[in-house]
Amino acid sequence: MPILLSRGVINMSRNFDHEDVYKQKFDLQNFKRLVGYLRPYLKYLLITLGIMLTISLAEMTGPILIQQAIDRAIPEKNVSLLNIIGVTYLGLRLLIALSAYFRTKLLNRTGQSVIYSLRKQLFNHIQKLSLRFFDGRPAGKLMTRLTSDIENLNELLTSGIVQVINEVLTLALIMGIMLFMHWQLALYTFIILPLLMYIGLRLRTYVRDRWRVVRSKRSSMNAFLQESISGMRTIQAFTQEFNSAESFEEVNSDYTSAQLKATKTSLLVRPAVEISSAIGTCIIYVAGASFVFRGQISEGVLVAFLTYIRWFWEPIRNLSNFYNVLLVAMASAERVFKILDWEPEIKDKIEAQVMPRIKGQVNFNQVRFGYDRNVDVLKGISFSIKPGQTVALVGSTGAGKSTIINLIPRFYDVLQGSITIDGYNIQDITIDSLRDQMSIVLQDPLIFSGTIRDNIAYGKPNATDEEIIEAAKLANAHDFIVEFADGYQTEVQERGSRLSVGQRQLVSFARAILADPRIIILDEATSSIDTKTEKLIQDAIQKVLIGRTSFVIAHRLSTIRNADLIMVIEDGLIAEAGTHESLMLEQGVYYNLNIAQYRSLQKAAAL
Amino acid sequence: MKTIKRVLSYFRPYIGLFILSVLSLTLLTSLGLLRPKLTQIFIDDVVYARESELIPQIALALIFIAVFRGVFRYIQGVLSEKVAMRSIADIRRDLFNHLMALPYEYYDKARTGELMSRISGDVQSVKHLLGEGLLEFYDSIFTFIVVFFILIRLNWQLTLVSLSTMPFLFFTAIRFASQIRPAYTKIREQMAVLSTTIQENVTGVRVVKAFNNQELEKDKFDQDNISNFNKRLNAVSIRARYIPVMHFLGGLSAIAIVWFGGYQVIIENLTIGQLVGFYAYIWSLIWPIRRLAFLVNFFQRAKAASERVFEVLDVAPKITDSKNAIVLDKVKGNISFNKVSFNYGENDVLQDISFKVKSGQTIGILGETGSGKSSLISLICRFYDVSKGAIMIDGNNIKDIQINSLRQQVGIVHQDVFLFSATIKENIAFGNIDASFEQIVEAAKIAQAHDFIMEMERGYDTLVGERGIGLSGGQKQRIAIARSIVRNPSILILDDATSSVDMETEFAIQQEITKLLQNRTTFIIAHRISSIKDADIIYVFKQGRIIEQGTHLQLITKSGYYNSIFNEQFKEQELLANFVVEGSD
Repeated sequence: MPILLSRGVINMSRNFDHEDVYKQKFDLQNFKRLVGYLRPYLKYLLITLGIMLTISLAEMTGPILIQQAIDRAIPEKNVSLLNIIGVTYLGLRLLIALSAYFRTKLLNRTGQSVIYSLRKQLFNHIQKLSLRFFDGRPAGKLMTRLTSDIENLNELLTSGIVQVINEVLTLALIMGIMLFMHWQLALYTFIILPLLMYIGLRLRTYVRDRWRVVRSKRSSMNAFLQESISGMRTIQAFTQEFNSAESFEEVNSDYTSAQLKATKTSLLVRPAVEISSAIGTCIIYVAGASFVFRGQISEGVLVAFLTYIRWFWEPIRNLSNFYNVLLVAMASAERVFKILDWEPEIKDKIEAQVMPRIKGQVNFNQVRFGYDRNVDVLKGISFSIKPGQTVALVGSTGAGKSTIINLIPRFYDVLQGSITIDGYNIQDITIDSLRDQMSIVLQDPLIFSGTIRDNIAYGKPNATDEEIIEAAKLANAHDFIVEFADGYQTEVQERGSRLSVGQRQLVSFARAILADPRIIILDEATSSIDTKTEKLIQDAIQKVLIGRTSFVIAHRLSTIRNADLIMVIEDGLIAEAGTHESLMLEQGVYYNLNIAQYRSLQKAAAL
Repeated sequence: MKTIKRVLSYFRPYIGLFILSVLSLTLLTSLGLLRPKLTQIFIDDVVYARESELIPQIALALIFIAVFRGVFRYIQGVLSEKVAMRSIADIRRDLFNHLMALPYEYYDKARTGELMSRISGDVQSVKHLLGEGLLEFYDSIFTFIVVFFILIRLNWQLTLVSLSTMPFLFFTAIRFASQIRPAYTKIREQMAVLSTTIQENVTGVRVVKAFNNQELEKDKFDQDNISNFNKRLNAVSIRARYIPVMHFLGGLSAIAIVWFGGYQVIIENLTIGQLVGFYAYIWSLIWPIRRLAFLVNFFQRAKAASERVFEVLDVAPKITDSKNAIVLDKVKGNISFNKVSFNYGENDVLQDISFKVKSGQTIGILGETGSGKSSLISLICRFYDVSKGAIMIDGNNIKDIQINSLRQQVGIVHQDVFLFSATIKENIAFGNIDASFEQIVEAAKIAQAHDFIMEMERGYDTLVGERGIGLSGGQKQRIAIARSIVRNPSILILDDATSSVDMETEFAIQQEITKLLQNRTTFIIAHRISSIKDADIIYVFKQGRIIEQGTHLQLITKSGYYNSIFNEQFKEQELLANFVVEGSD
């Protein structure tokens, strides 16, 4: 049975099950908390609401003016009254325009301010969180929290809430005016309100569901496209063009038919509203005419009613929109709050001391640790490192080497036992004073978008050009940097794509050297690099390590051999420790590890 | 004009539907324009005439209009959406198929993000043009002309007075449209910057924390955040300045009707019913005028978008099957390069390369970065065409072989491995979609991937790739090797395929692969001597030329480049030798 059923369709939609916001329960607690963010702006929001009501009132006065013209000015041939009406109308329009200007400005300024500070709060909070939070949380998700989720809140917090109050009041106002003009005719007219409500709440909800399907189909299509383009070489190398074309045809037509389906339901709304309005207008025609004939209302009132009835739909439509905005925003709020409520696990104790200049005596005392509290990765590690020593950690993947180096800068806290530096338990000193004296170089060094200079200066933001060049020289990076046309000012794109892997490593060495740490942690890259760069890196490593207590997850024999102490980690425990010579003589785990490598070359050497 | 014509050519298959849609729209609008007339009759002939006879007819007519408008709106909407969606689905299909026909050379320069924005964003703009755009344009003009004539016939003085603000409205709307668009573009660009900052901060969290640079990061983010705030408020200012003005200009017409129209009624040039009707007609004019202004802007945008789309479609797929291309059923794997030169445009990357490889041989390739190794193997799959010379496979020039029949028999592991966002199982099966699960596991075992796959909670069903879990470089490479092995290729190419795998595992992979190598031609590119020393022949590349060749034994006896690399890499191992007990081999 072939794995990829029928035609090698890799199921692209699988990862795109959109969180179904519409089925969630409304959380009043979260809503209150969200509204709390508006408190500092309450004054502005009230002013905005006032302005909006002014606009609504002014709009509603329009039909009254026309009524006055029809009932009084025109029949009485009173040109001066007509002029008064005209001037008033003009004034109203000016008032509306002016108010609309301030409404837009105020409302958005408030909204953007809330968004700005919420986003800042969230980002700053994330900076405080420990690595445990980041483990298994894709960057993309956090990005969504900080961008679109926050945007979703914007709509609710500003236009949403204020507008809904405005709409309710406007609708009430229209109904009030109509009732005041002639309550019987008004009541007749209100017959269509339930009809409009039904369209607004039920039909439009249904339509929305359909559009949600469209959006998810579209993201599936885009995801498929994105992946196909980035993997185009692979597709061509494995001659999967035909299958890809078929898969694309599928996502393409899925999206197309979802859109057509949604369009069809959407197209029911307007006609439904128009027919309801037509019914309402007919009622006014029939009932209104007879009231006029009986002299109960004037012709002008009748005309005003005809205008007002057309204004029913707008507030109802906006209310139904609000409901949608509310649901989306609440779902976003929940996700954002979840992060904000995440306590930073690793923080300074109240009585934490500032770590004096580190000499470099590092002790592990019976350290136990696991990422998952039930599974120990380190099962009781003890060792003692003297200042200035280089420790090489060797062992197979998953043995616990990375975990050991993650504990030294306190990226995680030990579960049992303790780690001391110069006799200070690292949990008793401030994190700042600890990490300020450490540097770390990772396997796949992170290069930020910016210039090469910026990237090196990351180790010491206020460094001078001389210091930076000196660090680069020590790291053997200077030569290749000056070969670029822009030298240190060369812009490296996102993730450093203009630099080779080897060059990225050299830059990160320079960064570490510039920071002049007391303790250095190095996760050596496994990837083989061409021999020339390789030599530069080996040389740089030795220079970086001199005079500092260093921990190296080592793969290079040269690094291992030069270490003062080699610790072989196996299954969360130290299996062996010693120098290269002593371990080889012992013929234990380390010896066997090396033999495997050696054998592959030994045959050749035997010549 | 040429662009528009070309866009319209995608339209042609659906032209019948489109015409029907236009027809429905005309009826829809025309029916709508009857309504003010009915109001006018109601007021003049019913209300003021105190005559109830006409009421049932008018009411019926109103309902009738609403129902039929509903029907026409539905027909028009469905048809036009169908036409637009189908046309752009066709454009997208063409684009996608075209992209698959484009050679590696194209992807050397193309950026995924940009291509994506063309296929999704730009095609969407074209859709708006084909769907709503054209129809709305037609509708606005149709409405304007009809209403204009109705009004002129009612009362030309009032028409001129009330329409006098329309040109201002139109030009204000045009200016608004042209100002708001760049403002929104700036917001989008700023959001992209903000996202990059977040992305780097999150993916680099260890570095951020290790250097204790949280404050620096906060500042960086705050700058982006503030800039985002300012750009948004800038767009808001534009909206706040223009929208009320446009409303006001529209409102002026209404005022003119009440004021000047009222006067016209007083001097009995107009009835009240006509006045009310006039009022209703004017409102049906204001919207089309504002829309027209946007449509002008819209057309420009859609035209630019279509140009970008066609630009992609017009890139010639350079590498195509020749007319009478040979289909290779089973490649034996005899490969020869005859004086092959190759360049990516300027300087030759390969110069005058000649060699012969027999079926079943393993070829090792060594050389510094940029010496032309990867280019060489790209030529074998015809990802690029040679500039000079010829490559023969089993005696056929590869330019005469059908491309797919060639590539189907090649298994290649690229330097930077690409895995799809799919399960591990599916990723391996990408090499051979007919593979059974047993074959997949078998391949994974050979690639030394089985063990780590089984350690994962969901085993072979683990999602990997961009949206799945992160694998280490070595793990990715091993899955890619399995993918190539499951293909059971006649030619296997490993382009630095074990660079991130530790030596021990690499050794195990090689042992397994060697067993498979019977009757297969294998190319291994590597930096480590240990990866290639068992090859039947080793070629050493420097600056696009073969500088040394021979077996490992032959090469280390010469004092050349190979020998120097060997000594370099071996020196380390040699030290070990002191500790190895004699005879333990």
